[in-house]
Amino acid sequence: MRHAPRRLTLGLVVLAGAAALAGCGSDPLDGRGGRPIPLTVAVSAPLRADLAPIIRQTDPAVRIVTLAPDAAPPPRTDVVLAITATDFPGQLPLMAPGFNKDSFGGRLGSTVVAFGVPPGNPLRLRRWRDLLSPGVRVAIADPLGPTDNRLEVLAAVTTIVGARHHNAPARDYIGRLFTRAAVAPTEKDALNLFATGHANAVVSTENHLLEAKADGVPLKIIYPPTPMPISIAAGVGSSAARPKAAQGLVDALHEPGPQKALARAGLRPVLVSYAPPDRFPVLAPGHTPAILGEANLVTRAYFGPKGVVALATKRN
Amino acid sequence: MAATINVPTRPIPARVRPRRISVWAIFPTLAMAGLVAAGAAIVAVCAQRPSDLVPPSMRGGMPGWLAGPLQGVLPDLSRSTATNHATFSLLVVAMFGFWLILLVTYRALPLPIAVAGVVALHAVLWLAPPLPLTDVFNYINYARMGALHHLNPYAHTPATGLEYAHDPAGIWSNWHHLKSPYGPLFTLMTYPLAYVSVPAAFWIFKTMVVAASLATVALAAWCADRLGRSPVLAIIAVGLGPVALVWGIGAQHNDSFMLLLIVAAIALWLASHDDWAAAALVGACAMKISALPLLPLFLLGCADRRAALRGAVLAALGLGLLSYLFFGTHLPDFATQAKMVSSLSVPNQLGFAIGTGGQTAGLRTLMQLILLAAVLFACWRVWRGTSWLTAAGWVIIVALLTTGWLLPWYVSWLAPLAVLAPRRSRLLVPFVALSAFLLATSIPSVGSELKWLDYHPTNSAVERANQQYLFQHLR
Repeated sequence: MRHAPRRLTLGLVVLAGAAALAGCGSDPLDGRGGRPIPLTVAVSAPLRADLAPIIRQTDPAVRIVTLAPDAAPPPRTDVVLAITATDFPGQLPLMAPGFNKDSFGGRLGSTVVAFGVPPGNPLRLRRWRDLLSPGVRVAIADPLGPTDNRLEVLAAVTTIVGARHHNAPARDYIGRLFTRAAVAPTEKDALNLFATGHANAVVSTENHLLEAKADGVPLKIIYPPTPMPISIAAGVGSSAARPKAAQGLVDALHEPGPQKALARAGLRPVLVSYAPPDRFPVLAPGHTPAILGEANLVTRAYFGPKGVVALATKRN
Repeated sequence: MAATINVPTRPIPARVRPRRISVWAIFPTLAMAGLVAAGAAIVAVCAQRPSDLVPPSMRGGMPGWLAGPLQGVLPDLSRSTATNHATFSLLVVAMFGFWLILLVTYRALPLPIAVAGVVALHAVLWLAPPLPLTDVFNYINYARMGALHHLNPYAHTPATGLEYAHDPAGIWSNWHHLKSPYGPLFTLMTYPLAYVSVPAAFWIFKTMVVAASLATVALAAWCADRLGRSPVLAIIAVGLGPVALVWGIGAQHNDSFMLLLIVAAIALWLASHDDWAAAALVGACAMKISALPLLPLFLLGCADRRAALRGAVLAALGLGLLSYLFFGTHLPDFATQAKMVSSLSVPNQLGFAIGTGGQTAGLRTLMQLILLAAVLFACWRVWRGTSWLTAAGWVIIVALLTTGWLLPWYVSWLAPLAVLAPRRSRLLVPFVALSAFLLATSIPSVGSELKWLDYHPTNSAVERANQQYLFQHLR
């Protein structure tokens, strides 16, 4: 019995040693009080408002930075949440190689572009070409505006090029659409134009349309046939300082809680069971922007200073 | 010249003498250890994180109750789908290799080691998440439809009123546009599961599947002993076949219950209770219709045909009444499922070979006629004195070769017949060959295999139409 305190001390020393050894392989600390460096999460600009609360619920200490299609990448990114249709391939080097080889294909969720019309769809809008019909005044977010809303244009262009196998009709269509559309700075402003009666149709992403509906705006969502799939890519950043913790955050975002939150925000979760079909109808996926050819040329042709949108809205 | 009359007789039971444990037992013992280790590794790989190796995890995530206690034992497992497919495939192939060694060296394997191995593998699979091609949540979903939502699963699909979208079981199930194809006895058996939570129902059902499988193995070993065959061989064939284990027990399919009743029927027949044996076979048909071809063969092949017919009729009346009380005049939806096509099934491949681009409606009808002819021929052979077990085994082989909707665990239907039929029937060889075929066509790496072989069997209009038909019901 007289050896008991010595054994206890020895045991504690061994335990402390084991704990120190275990700590050797962990992520780097900031050196101030031994706290780990907060994770930096780069989120695509159009998603930031929806995803930031979900990310903070999963890890309150994260630092969220905005990822813009043409902006310089942040110096260090642990986790990247990007929109494949607009951020790739420009921002693809931000993601660690092989991020899309996992079971979810590196995706967190998805969304589509759809039309918001008054209940009953009095103008019978079904397809993109219907938006050019007489009497239709469509509200659309400015792709050259502060939130880089390029998805609506890309969705229309991929559908037209996919059907007609040529770029000219798509350029013509976008030019005509933006000539007659009510162009708002952001998607929310476009929805406001629709809600206040300044437009009788709105083109927006499904999540914004669902949000407006939930806010009491009387609208019916019309899905054009074979819409362009807009995937939200999620992966560890290639410059991650804490890859293990970053992977932990990515895994946590794939758990039921965040996935349900994603569905509540109107985004289609990658765990399909949390996307009830009465809220998220099953759609036949259409073409991706890959059919448009080189991304830089597409960006210049549509969103450049002398692009179709700038010409149509007389901002060149 | 006097005509020979073949009177169907029950085989004379003979006891197998217990053997002394020889030094050669080391080979099958090591193979058994390898089999159990490979099985445990498969479970650990699947339980690590959500993946298509655990199909429900791709729909609803991987909570602890689904993954089981082996979640997290391989924290450094690759995240690459291709790597995990290859790992899973290699482990199943390794299991198959160990199983072949066991089949060849079974004479040297001591019975206690065989029993310990089969129990250990079942215990490991009991701890597993649902492995590929699982239907467990569809069973639970149909039970909840009937018991909680008062929707007849034979008259409505789970998509009726989008019931599945808001039911806790609907999150995990996938056949949302298919009326239940399962037998009324099985469907009623699952109704009590509706009154517990989905995780509890999942674990109860898993326990039932494992218990039924172990009971089947025990009964098969008893039957083998009665017939003078090796109970060890029966345990290896019925309880350790990797294809049936991984895709049948690991994926928690209801075939275990049908098989239990089939083997129970054989045991009752050996115990001279032909009436109860026939009733058990009718029960097997009420679990899953796939047992139906065995019934006429037994009725013709048993010693007391009158008693057997009486047993079959009474059981059919009782189960028919039960089905009528719960489901009215609606029957399980076999017809829809019968039109589905697995890409690598024999008729579909035959369709490719003859240039139709896959299994067409005409080819399906032809295959059904071949199966019908095989059943009639088998009936005639049994009438002429062939063992009904032999005939049943060959009929099942023809059924597996002619069905367009061929799934890997169906090979388990053949296992008890392969070891219990008379030796001269040589059913063990086609059983092993079919197992190898189903293994090769079902492992997750099969896509890479076909690419490597430059074989593209899914590239035709007929095949695309067949796939579309399948996914219409899977949505």
